[in-house]
Amino acid sequence: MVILAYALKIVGVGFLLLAAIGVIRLPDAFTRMHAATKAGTLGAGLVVIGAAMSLEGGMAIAVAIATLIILLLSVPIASHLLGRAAYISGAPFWQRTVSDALSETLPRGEDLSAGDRSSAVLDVSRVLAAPSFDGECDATMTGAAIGRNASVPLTVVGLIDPAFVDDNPDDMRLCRVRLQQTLDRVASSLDVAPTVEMIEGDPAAALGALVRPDDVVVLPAAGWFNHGVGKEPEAMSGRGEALFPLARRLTVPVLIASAPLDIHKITVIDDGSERILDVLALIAKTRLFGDVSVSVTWAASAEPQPVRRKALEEAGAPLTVGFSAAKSADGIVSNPGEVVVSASLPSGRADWYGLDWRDRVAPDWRGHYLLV
Amino acid sequence: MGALEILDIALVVVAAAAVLIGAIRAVIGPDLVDRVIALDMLTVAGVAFGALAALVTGSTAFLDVALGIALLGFVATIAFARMIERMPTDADTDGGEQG
Repeated sequence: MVILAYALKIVGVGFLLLAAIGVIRLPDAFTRMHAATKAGTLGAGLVVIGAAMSLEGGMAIAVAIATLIILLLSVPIASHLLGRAAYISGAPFWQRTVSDALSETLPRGEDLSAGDRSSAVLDVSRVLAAPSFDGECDATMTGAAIGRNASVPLTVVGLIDPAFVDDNPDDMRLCRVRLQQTLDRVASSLDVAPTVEMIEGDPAAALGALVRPDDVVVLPAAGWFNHGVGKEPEAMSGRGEALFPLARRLTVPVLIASAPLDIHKITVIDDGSERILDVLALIAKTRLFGDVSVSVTWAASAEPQPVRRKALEEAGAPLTVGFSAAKSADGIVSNPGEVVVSASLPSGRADWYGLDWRDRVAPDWRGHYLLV
Repeated sequence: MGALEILDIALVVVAAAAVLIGAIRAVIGPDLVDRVIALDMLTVAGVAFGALAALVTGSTAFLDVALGIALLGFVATIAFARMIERMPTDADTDGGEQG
């Protein structure tokens, strides 16, 4: 009995210490709450049971049991409310957070992890393109093409995310050398001379600091966070995984580029917003994608009315604007063009166990996705 | 019996370390939410602390303290959660870096 009581108390205090370490070490409010609640309740509960077993007297044991019951009843409720409050108040997510299951359930306040796109200036005076790390030049080729169409300069950005490199000077050096090689190859393969920037740090912060309000950012569809050096994060593939959070945090239009292709038709997913009209007008004015035809699609619940159709046609002039059918119930676009323009990204993760997110736009579609 | 008393005191010391670590988070924040989460964890630690104090001192009054902390912590956390939820914008936010 005494041994059991001490075992319970020791394990309980151990869990309490774990909870404290979790609260101090974990990266965002939600993960901290998870540590504090689960480990904390278990730890305190075990300690109280241990204490009840060591004490004599019916009254003391009764109080200990009452404490235990109150703990088990109250802490989960309090933590649930706290998590809800944290979400609603817009507590920032950890930068590697990949899914937000509450996004359509609870209103979220000012979210520091997502950029505010509605107020961003919409113009193109520069194209920022990031090559993928293994030397695929999709994003730079596409960036050069749209820069040429719109007659604006191109900046090629090489980015090292230290989170994907071991804390090892040799690996970091190798990483820089490889990136330099990639950038040299990219620069020499283009027929325009791009400005080259090399930055290190958290992608969203580092790229965000570089981006001007009138930029268009081009990112490779495969992501470029796999540096081919050091650690391969296990939970994340390191390929496309960080792509969506990064694209969401930037406030300028982000073109997620697949392999270079000839663009004949762009598909605009209309959500009834002014932003879509502005973007369409911009595409028509700058000929960002050349002389293309525009096809408009929409979610079944937001079919554009005649007034809206006229507005879209006027915004897209002199390009020809046509209207196709609504998206299917699961968001599949029928017969999309080489570029899809949308105010939101496809739902879910960029890379889900090897399934390509572009299949959720349309099966086997491999075009460019412009998030505006 | 002396060894067991020392063990009890050692447990109190470890629990105190947990309280201290939680208090660091409550001080550094960076958001109000983080501070309240740390406070929530501190009340739970306080309950365990009360139970251990009852053992070390032999006074069962500390168990009543533990019960009181458990009840009060619940109310405090709920009140804070409601307050955070109703705050118009998160004015306390100073640590989140904007991308």
